[in-house]
Formats: sequence, structure tokens, C-alpha cells
Amino acid sequence: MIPLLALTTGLCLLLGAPIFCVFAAVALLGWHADGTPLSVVGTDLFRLSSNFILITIPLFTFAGYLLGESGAPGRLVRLSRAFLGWMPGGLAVVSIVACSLFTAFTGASGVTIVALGALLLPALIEDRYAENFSLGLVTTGGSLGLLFAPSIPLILYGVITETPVSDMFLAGLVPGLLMVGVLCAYGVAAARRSGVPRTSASLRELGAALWEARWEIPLPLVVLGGIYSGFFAVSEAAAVTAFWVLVAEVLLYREISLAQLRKVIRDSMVMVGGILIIVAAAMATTNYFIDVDVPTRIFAFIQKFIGSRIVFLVLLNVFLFVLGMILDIFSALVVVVPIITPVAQRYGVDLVHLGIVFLANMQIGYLTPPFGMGLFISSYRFRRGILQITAACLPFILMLVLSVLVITYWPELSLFLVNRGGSPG
Amino acid sequence: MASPPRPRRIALARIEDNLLVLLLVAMIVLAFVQILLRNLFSVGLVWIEPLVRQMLLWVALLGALVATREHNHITVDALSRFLTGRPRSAVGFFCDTFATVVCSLLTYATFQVFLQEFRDPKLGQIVTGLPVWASLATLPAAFSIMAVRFGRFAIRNLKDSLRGAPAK
Repeated sequence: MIPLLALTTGLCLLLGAPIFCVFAAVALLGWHADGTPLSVVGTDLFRLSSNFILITIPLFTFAGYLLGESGAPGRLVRLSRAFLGWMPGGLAVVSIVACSLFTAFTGASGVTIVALGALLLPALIEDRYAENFSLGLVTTGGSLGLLFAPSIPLILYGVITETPVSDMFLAGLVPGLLMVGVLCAYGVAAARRSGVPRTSASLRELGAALWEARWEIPLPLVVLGGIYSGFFAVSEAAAVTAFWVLVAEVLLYREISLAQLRKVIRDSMVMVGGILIIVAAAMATTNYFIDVDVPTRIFAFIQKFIGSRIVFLVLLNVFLFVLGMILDIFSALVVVVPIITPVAQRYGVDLVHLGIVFLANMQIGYLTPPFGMGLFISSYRFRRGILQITAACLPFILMLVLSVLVITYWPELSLFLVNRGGSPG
Repeated sequence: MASPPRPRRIALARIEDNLLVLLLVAMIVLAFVQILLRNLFSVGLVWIEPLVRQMLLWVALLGALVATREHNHITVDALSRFLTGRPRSAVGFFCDTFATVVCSLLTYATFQVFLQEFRDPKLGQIVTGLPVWASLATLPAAFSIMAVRFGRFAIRNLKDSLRGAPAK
């Protein structure tokens, strides 16, 4: 009976049953087979209310949604252009920087592609960048910035593995900059190749752009500065962000009416509810898995085949790359992380480093066929075929893969800021 | 099921939406007030943090309720994406039935926890006047409504797969 039910549960996962139900079913089934009363699952679900750091998820998600609905994307693009547009490959660099900043705040939920891509793509093509390059760039931009504070996946990884979220924020900084830097270099090269004319810098435009964005410029400075300097706890930074964005967009810019605000809150909280209920159910499942020593068994099994840390990391990369092709980032985080972290630790992989490797891989997953979410959103938004988008993304994927390899085999890149004791310069 | 939604359902939907909005605004304001107090006056209100943590649970449950109502939960859509028509309805029936059963079991499991604490309050109060069992009660309440909603979707999908009506 129990193997049959377990099989049904697995089938339901593949066929598209809600993921939280699948997790809950695993926990219920497991404890039932174990002879433990089912109320243990109820207790585990209630533990959702015992973790204060989780409040950052509704707060940051709301702020991101609100920013996406307001005129902030336009102001961000204008400002980045005024600052960086004069460089060779200026607009490409602008796109990369603006997208990664925006994604850090909104999460890679497709908001970036919808809100920023729509502004950047026509501008890029007008500037004589090749169409496929431009498409690939804005699609890649949709998940770039995942490694920067305050992205939700970084927070979730910290919550799931009980790693300090502030450590995750520090660790993501340099690897994230590496990815941004590599893509920028590629952008500059592409601009040269297609003979993009350079524009001259205009102080007047810079001043105007700065003035227009005056209520939003302090936000990343206060939040990122506050988090990275240790002045704010992460939960405090989330509260400040939500409050700030609310005041700026609704009261100062007056771009969001109260009726719109209600819709933004509602929509963002449905998304948050969908994520948190999975987190709650995953906590119940993890509790069961740990109780029956699943990680130990997996370790014992793979130890027969994998002797060294390097081989483990190589296979981990391959595994995560494939995983990213199939699962979206939230499912992958809650399903896979609790199982692989104890195994990885036995191979001497640092938890913080593992998180960065994991998320960097998942970021590529947005762009890889057959199920990369970024590909679908981009195809839908820009009305191009999925094959064209995929082809356009290939060079970008290649470069991100190279960055991920560097990030994987050079742990210090992720860890040196963390090990400096949490107060980077 | 294709008949226009009943007034009671619309009322419940509106209550859920408004509660969600209210809870988030309250969370933002409370968390922000706490920061102001801590940084400007070096004091803190001890009841804010536990209360906000409970509100997070309620936001999660309400958000999940609305997601259920709109059949908008996070799923692995790798396969279902390519299905249309009757096969899609049939698969939908299978998954929604599964979800109904799971949510019913969760209602039972969380109700047990609530009942135990209600009869013999060991965990005390979250803040003065708000006993832990009251917050525990939100879990079975939410899961039972979710079970009903998934059940409704299951029935609709069953009808569609038998009749061959176009599935959403």
C-alpha cells in the first residue's frame, strides 16, 4: 500500500499537482509508515511562524512588485544611460547593470523581463545592436542579479540551511559581479562588432535623470549599504525597503493609485503565500528525511562512486545544470537543498559556497531549454519564437557556464568577504 | 459548476483579499515602527516581533487560499504544459483529487495540534489576549477551505474530461 501511495505522490509531482501538497504527502506518508501520529506534520507546519527572517520574503516581494508597476524601471534605465551610456557598448552595459539591480530587488520572477526588457529591447535595436544579441541580453538580464542582496532565493537558501542570511548576501557579491563583468565585456565586444555609434555624455541629462529618480536613488544605497555594513539586520532592511517604496511610489511620485496598490499587495501576497506554504511543507518533509537518515544513506551510496571533493563538485554542477533545466528555482531550493547539503558537507564543501554554486546554476536554468522560465516569458513578451530566443541566449549561457565553473572551483571567491568577519569595506 | 459564482463565495473571496492587504500593511507598519523605536529611542516593543511572526503565518495561509481559489499554485508544469483538451482535464482531475486528499489530511493533522493545545494550553500566549491555540486554529481552517476548493476543481475536471469540454 505505502509504495503504491509513494508512487502516486511522485506521479502527481510530475503531472503538475501543487508542490506543497506533494511535500506534505511525503511527510504524512513517511510518518504514517513510521507509526508516528500525523499531528507531527501539523506541528512542523506551524513552525513557519517561528522564523523571523521569513518576514523578509513578503516585504521584499511586495516592494519588488510595486517597483515593477511604477515608473521606476523607466527612471532606472534613464539614469543608467546617463551614467554609463557614453562608454563603448554603453547601452549593453546599461542593460546588464540595470537588470541585475532590478532583479536583485524583485527576484527572478520575470518582472525584470516584462518591466525592463520592454524598455531596453527597442532601445538596443535602435542603437544598432544585432537583434539576437539584444534578445539574448534582455532575457539573460531577467535572472542576472540573483546573487545580489536582497534577492529572495538567497534568503530562502539561508533559511533552509540555517546559514546566516547576511553571510549569503556577502558571499553572493563577488561571484555576482564576476557574472556581470563577464557579460559586460561581451556586450562591449558585441557593440564593437556591430559598429554601434558612441554617444557623448551629457551633464544636463545626468542631472535631469538624477533629479527624476531622487526618491529612489537612496533606496539601494540605504538598503545595500545598511546590509553590507551591518548597520541593519536583514529583516530591518526589508521593512525599510517596503516602507520606503510604499511612500515613494504612492505618496511622492503618485504613480500608484490606492486601487492599484491594493491589487499589487494582493497579487504579491498570493505569490508569497504560494512560496511560503511550500517552505512550510518542505520543513515537514525535511524533518522526516532527517529522522530516517536519508542524507546519510545518499552519502553512503554515492561514496562508493565518488571519492574526492573535486569529482563531487563536477557531478554537482552537472546535476544542478540538469535540475535547473527542469525545475524552477523555488521548487529546486526546497526539494533539493535539504538533501544535498548534508552530503556536500561531508565532502568538505562549505555551506555558504554551496549556496552560491546552487543559485548560480539555477540562474542558468532560467535560460536553458526545455523549461527555462526566462525563455517562455521572453518569447511571450517580445513575440518571438522560443527557438529564436533560445538561440539568442546560447552565447550568454556559455559565458554564464564558464562563470559558474570559476565560482565552483574557486571557493575563496565566494568566501573571502564572509571570512573577513562580516564588515567588508 | 459553470453557473455564476454564488454570493457567499464572492463574499469569502473579498474577505480573504482584504485581510491579505490589511495584514501586509500592518506588518510593514509594525516592523517599521519597531526600527524607529530601536534606532531613535533605543527601546523596543516586545509584542511586535511575536505578533509579526504570527502574521507571516496568516499571510502565508491566506495567500495559499487565494492561490488555491485561482488554481495558481506553484507546480512542476514540465508535462502539463503540453496537454490540452480531455487529457488535460483528466490529469487535472487526478492532481486535484490528490490535493483534496492531502489538504483533508493536513486539516486533520493540524486540527489535532490545535485541539491538544486548546485543551491543555502549554504554549501560553503569543501576546496578551492572543493565545497560541487561536493562531493554531487558523491552520485547520485554511486547509479545510483549500480541500473544498481543490475538491471543486476536481469535480469540474472530472466533468470536463467525461464530456470533453475544453479545459482551461
